[in-house]
Amino acid sequence: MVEFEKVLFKYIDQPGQDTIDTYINNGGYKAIEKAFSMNPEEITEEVIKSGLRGRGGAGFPAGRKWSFLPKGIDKPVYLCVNADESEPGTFKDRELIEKEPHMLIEGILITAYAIKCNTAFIYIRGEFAYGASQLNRAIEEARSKGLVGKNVMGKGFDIDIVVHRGGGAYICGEETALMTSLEGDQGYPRVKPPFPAVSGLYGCPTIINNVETLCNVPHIINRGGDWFASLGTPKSTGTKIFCLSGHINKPGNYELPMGISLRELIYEYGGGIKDGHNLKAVIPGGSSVPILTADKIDVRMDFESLAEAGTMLGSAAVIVIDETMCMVRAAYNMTRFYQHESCGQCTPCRQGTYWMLNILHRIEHGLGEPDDLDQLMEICDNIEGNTICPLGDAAIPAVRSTIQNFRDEYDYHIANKKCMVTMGPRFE
Amino acid sequence: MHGNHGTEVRVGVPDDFQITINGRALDVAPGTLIIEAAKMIGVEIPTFCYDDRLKPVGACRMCLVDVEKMPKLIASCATPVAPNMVIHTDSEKVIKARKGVLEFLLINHPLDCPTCDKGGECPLQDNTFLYGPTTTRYKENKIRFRDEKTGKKFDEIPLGPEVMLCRNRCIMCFKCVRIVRDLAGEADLGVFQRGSSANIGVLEEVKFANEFSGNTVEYCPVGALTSSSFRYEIRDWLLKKTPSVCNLCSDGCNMNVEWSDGKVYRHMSRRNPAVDDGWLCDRGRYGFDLSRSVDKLTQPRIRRGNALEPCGWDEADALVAKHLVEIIDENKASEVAVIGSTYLANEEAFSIRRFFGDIIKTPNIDFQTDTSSPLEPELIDMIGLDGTINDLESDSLFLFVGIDPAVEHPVMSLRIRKAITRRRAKAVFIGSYDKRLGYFPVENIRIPSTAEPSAVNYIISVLKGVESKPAGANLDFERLNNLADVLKSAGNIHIMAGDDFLSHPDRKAMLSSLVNLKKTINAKLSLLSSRGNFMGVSRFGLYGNPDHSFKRILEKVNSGEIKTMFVFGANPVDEFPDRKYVHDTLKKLEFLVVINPFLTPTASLGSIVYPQPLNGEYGGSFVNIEGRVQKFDPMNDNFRLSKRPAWSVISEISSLMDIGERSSHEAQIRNLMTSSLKGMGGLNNIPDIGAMIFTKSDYDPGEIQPKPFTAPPSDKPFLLQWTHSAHHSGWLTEKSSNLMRISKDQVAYLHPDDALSLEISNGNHVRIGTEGTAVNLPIEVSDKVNKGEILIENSFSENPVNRLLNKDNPITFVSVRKN
Repeated sequence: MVEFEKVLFKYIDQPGQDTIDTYINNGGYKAIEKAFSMNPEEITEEVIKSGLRGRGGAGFPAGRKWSFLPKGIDKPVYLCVNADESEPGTFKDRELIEKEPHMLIEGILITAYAIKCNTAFIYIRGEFAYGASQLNRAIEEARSKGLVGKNVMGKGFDIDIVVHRGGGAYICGEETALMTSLEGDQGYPRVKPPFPAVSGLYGCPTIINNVETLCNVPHIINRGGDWFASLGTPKSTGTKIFCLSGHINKPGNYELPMGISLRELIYEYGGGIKDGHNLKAVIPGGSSVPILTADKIDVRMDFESLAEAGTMLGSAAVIVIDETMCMVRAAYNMTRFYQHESCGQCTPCRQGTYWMLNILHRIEHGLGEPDDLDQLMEICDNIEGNTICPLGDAAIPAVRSTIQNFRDEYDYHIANKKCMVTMGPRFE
Repeated sequence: MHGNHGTEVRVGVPDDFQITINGRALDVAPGTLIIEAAKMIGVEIPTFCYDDRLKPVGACRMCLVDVEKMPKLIASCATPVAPNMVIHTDSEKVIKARKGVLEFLLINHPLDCPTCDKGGECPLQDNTFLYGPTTTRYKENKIRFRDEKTGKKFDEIPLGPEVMLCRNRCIMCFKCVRIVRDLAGEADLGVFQRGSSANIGVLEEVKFANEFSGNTVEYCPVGALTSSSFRYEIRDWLLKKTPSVCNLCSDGCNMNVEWSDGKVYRHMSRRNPAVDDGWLCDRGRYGFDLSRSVDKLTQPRIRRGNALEPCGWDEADALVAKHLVEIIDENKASEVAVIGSTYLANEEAFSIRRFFGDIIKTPNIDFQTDTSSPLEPELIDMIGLDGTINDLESDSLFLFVGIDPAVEHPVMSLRIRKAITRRRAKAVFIGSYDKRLGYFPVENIRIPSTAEPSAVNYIISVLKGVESKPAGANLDFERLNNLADVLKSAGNIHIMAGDDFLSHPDRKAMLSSLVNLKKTINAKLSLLSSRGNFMGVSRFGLYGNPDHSFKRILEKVNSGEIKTMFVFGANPVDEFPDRKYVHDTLKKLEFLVVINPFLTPTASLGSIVYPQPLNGEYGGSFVNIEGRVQKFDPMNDNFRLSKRPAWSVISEISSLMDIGERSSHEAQIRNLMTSSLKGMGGLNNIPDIGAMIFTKSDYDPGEIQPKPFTAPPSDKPFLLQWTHSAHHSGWLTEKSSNLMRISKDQVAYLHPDDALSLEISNGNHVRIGTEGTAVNLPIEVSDKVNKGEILIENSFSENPVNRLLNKDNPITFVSVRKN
């Protein structure tokens, strides 16, 4: 176990941390005060220095994203907080929103000040009813203390924060679909370019950041970018909340420095595999990333190391799969999710996920045919890179990486009309 | 972006930069989409969802291209070029991706091409043939949509009265949704569900019947949307296409009449970027079945006793010729009157003037059968659009007074909508009832009916800093002041007035105020008539001389000075604002010749009735609202022999009278027009996009004060106003069963306060009456009209508004009583 001071989760279990008084007692809202003593460009500079990378999945450097805003145009700038946490296996933002809402608000205040934005939207997943009420309550608390609204802390800065609950679509976590949805339209992604920083919400320059990303901002301002950069690895700085789930003894959120090994995460922190079973595979970054087989768990959990291992850190949702799980079943289950959540706007994703699901359904139900696997791989090729947004690409790993790594299970299904793992036919 | 491939290669334009497509370098303007740049050098990129007139969505992914230094293929329909881009449209990656997209599209697409109406003209068929896989690898079940209530497989959904939806065929290109939302500005169509279940639809209570709905069918890249008037009728490859021009309003939209074996099956757009830009309104599109109407006259009729009996052409011609010879012999030309209409082509109008004016020498020629206050010659010359239809896109503020562009000029109004959406142009209506341009933002400044001159004069007074409130007029001065403020600072203002202006009871004062406003703010001023070939017939000879106006002609009939009348294409009984008077007057004629496609109430009074050919049955030319002359052809030369437009009737009669040569082709008439009309050179050589031949003239009537406001009498407390429906414009379109099916039923609009005090609710039938006559109509309670005013949708012959009108009384008050 590594020795380190928790950043985001330091007070997470302290009762009352979701109220403004406790938050202030624990050092909250100091960073915004400090931020007001800096000019906006200095804040962006500090965040660039910290090396903070987006925690939503893509890992784009947050400070650099802010610096893409066009200078000297007379349109308003918007900040959208992506709280539409829907990636299967991911539940970190939910905990932050419910237990540390003021940390998020402080992050929003500093970011809004840095990017000269006066209206911020929190697009929260519709199912997070409690989270939305926590946020609304916390915003009102902050408003009553003069931290939100007109002339924040008497510094002449205006900020309004609007909480918007989504309607229950995974796609609305994609940044352009999020904006379309926020504008009141059906949640369809938009073609990029133009990128949101140039033309986003209502055609205005827009910055979209993940909840966890913004929660890091107050700490970077308080303690400096250099401090943050000293945590984790040189290119993946800071700490990261890992969401452990699956066949593991102690599932949950774990805040750890970037670069910790997957083995340590599973066995030291997660307490090992449930019921004494053997580990079979791990999905390290949410269902949209390629699967890692059990022999590869010495990989370090940071953006670069996982990319090198052929997968991605994604949202750091670590899904642990033990030997009792049929990988065909797992692929079928995940594909069902993507087929259900495809928005239907562009052809490859709409039709491709549907086709893959049909084939997987047949294989899973003992009706597979020998050429099905080649067909599945071909469909993956035809989806990959050809869609408007990343959802199409996200649907591929569940199929492709399970076929690549567990082809014997597929072949057994097709040849024997039953499952190799459970040794029985599967029926729904 | 239009025109031929290879003709738009640009050289040496500043700001342009170089790109390379398939190894060929070319200069392009910043912002050009890759697909457009490719088109310039003749490289076709296949697409389904792209349309250069709609905002790109990049949904179908058919247009993916390979750009060097980019990791992924990119959608060429949605990506602008960048300097030094190197693009490949035929790389292995691209070819594979296209094949993949087509395979994806086809997995759920039914292979019912043999029974699908799109078969033969289907982009999905064409692209599959060119780029697609030859066989399918799909083994699963195709998605088949079911009826939500019964759960049964069901795929024929009437979205509205005309458009049918087959969801199974849909490939989700979103063209229909974008046409409806972005172009027309209506919210009827939408996407329901998501992913592979996504489907186009309407809400249960909504009828997809906006005035541009037919465009969705024409531009659907598969057979998902079909027209109930066309489906299962005929295959596309059996149809012949004849270029034509619509005459149901004065926009002059180009279209193809598509026909087989002499029968018209549909009208399709024929894109003229200067006029219609490839759109048609439903009135023009679905009015094609006029020529199929069973009521259509097919041979001349002659009066024998009380009946009009069919007769041969020779018999009719001989009788008319004999009558005219007598008139010439007895020197009675002044006893002859000739009435034309805006449904006539230029060649017909010219022939009428030439024969009746120059040879028979009657002065009694007019075409204004719809007004009891004929337009002054100066005003007739002012009618027309200020600038071109294309120019409308760069106007910044539209001020509409006495015009409803969505109804009177549907396709022209698309340019105004475009200016609103693309350039944030403002649209302000001053009028007594609310008007709309789809759901796009417009401002309606409501004034009492007929108070337009006072309102405009007030604005002028504010603009000049000598604010003077007109006495007695109940105007919203605050909003007019705000408007004056906006006018002060706006550039590119366009003032438009239309049919309500032309029939305004105080037209002179209104013209004076509009001209003054135009001068004060240096704006464009367009006075528009919605009637078909208004500019053509008025300038090619049916000129409205007030001394010989239709109104005056009727007086002369009553006094016995006129005994013979020829009515070409007009139907005064349904049009003249005093139905009983015009009917009784025409009955007094000794000899009435009517040329009309149908046995209208006017034709029923005739001594001789000739059948008039309809669009597609004869050739000619029309002049549109801009002054642009455009040619149209008959379906084939057989029609030139069997159908007889006005000039042909005249030619037969005159040759029987031994006057002039017989003409058998409209080109012969055009040659005569060329030689006899100054500056009209070469009507036979009009280019495809037409030619601007008329300009409107300026005229300043000086200051004319508005007439004082008339209070309603106590027994008839409601002021009567009327308008048209967008689908349907009068006695002619009423003969189209398609349009009658699409069009809403006739209603009268009544303000909620009035409805309350009269205890009338929505749908109640009321008797709207004036001296001894009345119409019976259902009421729609709506606050879009003023209190104390009632608005009737005209153009339905069962309850014609002109039954209530009186030629001597320009303002009509009526009583409203619940039946």
